[in-house]
Amino acid sequence: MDHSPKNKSRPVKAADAAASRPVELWMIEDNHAFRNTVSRLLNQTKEIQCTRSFPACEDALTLLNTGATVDVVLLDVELSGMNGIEGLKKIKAVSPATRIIMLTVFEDHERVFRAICAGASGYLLKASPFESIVESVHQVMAGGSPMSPRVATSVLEMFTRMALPKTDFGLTEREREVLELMKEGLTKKEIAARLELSFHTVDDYLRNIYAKLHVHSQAGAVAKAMKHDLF
Amino acid sequence: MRIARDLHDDVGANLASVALIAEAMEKQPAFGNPADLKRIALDTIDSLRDIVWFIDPARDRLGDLISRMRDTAPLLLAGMKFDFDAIMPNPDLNLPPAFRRNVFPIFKETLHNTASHARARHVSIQLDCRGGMLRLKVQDDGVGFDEQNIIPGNGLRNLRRRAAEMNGEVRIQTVSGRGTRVEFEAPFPRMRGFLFLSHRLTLHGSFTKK
Repeated sequence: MDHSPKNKSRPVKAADAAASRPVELWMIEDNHAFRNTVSRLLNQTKEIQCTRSFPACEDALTLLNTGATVDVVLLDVELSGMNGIEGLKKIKAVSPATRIIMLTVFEDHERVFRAICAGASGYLLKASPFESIVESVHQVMAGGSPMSPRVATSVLEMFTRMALPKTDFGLTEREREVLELMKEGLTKKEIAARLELSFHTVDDYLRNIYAKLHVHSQAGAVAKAMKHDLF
Repeated sequence: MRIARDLHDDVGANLASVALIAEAMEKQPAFGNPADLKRIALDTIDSLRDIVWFIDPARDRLGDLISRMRDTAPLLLAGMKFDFDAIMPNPDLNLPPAFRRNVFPIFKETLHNTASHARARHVSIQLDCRGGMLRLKVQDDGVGFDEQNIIPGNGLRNLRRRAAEMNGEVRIQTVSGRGTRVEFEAPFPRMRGFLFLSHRLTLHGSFTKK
């Protein structure tokens, strides 16, 4: 990071706030060894101070409800009592400005998705090197959304999956059937026979399919349909 | 599934800690010491051993559970004198994994607390498996504690959560300076319908809706 004064164009807020006082962080983690190790490591840095660590969400919420504030929470997902996702929602409700980074061993789509929906600012795996935990804290303070590379991959996969069914190009059930037969290499005549339709009707379907897929040939239609996983 | 999740969570976090400590020690040898690493490694081995035991279908009888408790007690109470009495008319009773995976941690947590805080000379462990209930009583002659001055930690919360999952309960009686008694009891899941029935009865008729 460039802290030299000559860098005039850098955004003022987050960087200057970090320079003037350390980021205050809490950790909610039920594994004793991990909680101790990470908080000790953080407290060796000048920029981040882990001022509290709790084995359960309930304990952190009790303190937040008394009016305590904190910049960042590192939050485990599987906790006894209230789980991390529930805790995340509750912490956000009491303290909306607090940035929450999930720190867990789990990288499955469901947990990642639920954490993001519930308002997590970041999602890290426990196998992350310490430097990337520190870097992630700075990133959330600057408004970013850090993720471990594997989690980011998982998020992209989720989006790809979510996006695919939508690109069905508005084909009707019958048009998809025709397309399916085209893929098998049937001619218009054969398709008509198979579906017990007239040649002209099949021809109409084909023209509609071409128009919807923006292609001009049977081969083009099949190629595009395969590319977009329409079969 | 849940056992696999617990394994992943616990063992994963322990190994991540070892990796972080080792990483820090490369730059700063004084950050960690061999004793820390050894303790985490041994804890991890313990977790693995427990998990393997929980899922072993050849160890699913009440008798297996009790003998495992008996074997584990001296390790947890390291050096303390203790009695272990079990009344068990039904050693061949089959216990589902969910029951075993809750009872055993309750037992361990209770003895762990005694070993860490009680400063006791003697601990008495009694198990009574009659009447369709499992009753565990752990009594020590240690310093006890004042309930007003103690913040219930995660250990106690876990104890209560596990007991609740088994339709059971935990009672703790203590007098400062005169020892502590922890009692846990839960019904055996003898038949599938047994717990279901007792659960429905506590709902007082509202079950007709569902």
